[in-house]
Amino acid sequence: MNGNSQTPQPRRGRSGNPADRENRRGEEDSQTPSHRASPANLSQIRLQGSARIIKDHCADWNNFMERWDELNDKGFQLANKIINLKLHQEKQVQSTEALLAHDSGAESEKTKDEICYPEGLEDLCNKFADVYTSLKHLAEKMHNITVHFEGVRRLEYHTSIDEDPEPLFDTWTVDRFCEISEELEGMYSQEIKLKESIVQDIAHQMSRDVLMTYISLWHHQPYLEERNHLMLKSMLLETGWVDP
Amino acid sequence: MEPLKQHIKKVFATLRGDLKTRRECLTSTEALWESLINTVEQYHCCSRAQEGKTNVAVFRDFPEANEKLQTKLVSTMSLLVDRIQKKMPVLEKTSKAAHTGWQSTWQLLAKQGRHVDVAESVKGTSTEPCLADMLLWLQRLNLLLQQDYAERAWMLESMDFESETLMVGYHSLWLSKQKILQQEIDTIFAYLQFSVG
Repeated sequence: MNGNSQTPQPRRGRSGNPADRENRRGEEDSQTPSHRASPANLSQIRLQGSARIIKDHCADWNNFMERWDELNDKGFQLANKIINLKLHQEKQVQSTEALLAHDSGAESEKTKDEICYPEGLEDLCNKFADVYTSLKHLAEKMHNITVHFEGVRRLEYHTSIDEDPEPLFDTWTVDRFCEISEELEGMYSQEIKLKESIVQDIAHQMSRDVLMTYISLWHHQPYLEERNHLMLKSMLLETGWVDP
Repeated sequence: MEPLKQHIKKVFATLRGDLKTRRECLTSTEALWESLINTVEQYHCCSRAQEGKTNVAVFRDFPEANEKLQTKLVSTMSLLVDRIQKKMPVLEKTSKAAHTGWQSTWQLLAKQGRHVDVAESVKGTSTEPCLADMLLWLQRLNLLLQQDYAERAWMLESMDFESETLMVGYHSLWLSKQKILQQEIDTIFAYLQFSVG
């Protein structure tokens, strides 16, 4: 493949015969730069159209996932502070129960509430909620990428009379990018729902076991599978963002 | 008697280097053990939290989340145990070095034993321990290191993440064993500091 930066030829009006397709590839290689961008020459070809959209969105996936991890860590620190504050107060609840037993019921409840929601908790919970809001926005952006990929897929099928559109880059068709994006988006959309539930409930729980579980759920993100970073890396490799 | 003494001093000098490496290796396992015990605690908190807490929104709305979390925690615990296991060859090497040193000393003693004056063998000074003491210390060090390695290897083999009490107990034992053994090592080498150098 040469380093010529001519605009790739649009792919239209070709036969569906694989043999013809191979012949066409040979002709194109000899006469014009390959219309298919591969990791070897992506830096030299100015991508346009579908390939450009796909490549840019793969970079977006990388940026969003990195930002998600940063926010998750920030949320973890806040959740840790919330739980430490509540557990510290729980000890006070236990030690003052004997005293409360002699007081009237109404006074006991009020005192218990004040202990269950100690000073400083609201501020921490607000910050925690802000982190959740930022994560939610990221999840929405991830959803939008998947929607765009789907749009590109429909366009590719519409503009190509081939039954199976050719790979845009090295080996992946648009279908593959859509599948990966949908799978990733599915993981993050489930995870954000879980995080919403944790944010809404963490202030109201007093059980140490439940609070520890909440912080573990937040930190370890059970709906994000181990292979999500591998899937991202595959997309980046395919689109040339990362060298093989 | 002098060749035997010189031999023992060489063995101790070599062992001192190995024991330093061993101590550094064990120090590096402390952080791994801390992470492991934290993860064990999280795992058991999750199990206890879910029992009878159907009114908790997270458990009700995401029934599979806890199970997925526990799977991840088990994976993390296994990874941490693997990393601790990877340190064991250093401990094994030290215990083997002590055994080799003791064996070679014993073989030399067997060859030259009749030339050793028993009365002289128990005579020492403040800077030069007697032969009898040095033999005893070497034998003790060999036994302690063999036992220590065997016990640590057994601990790692018999770990059970389902038992929080066991894991916490092992953690405590792992740390306390090193403290006790190190005190013995420091005492022996304090006596030897002038003669071994």
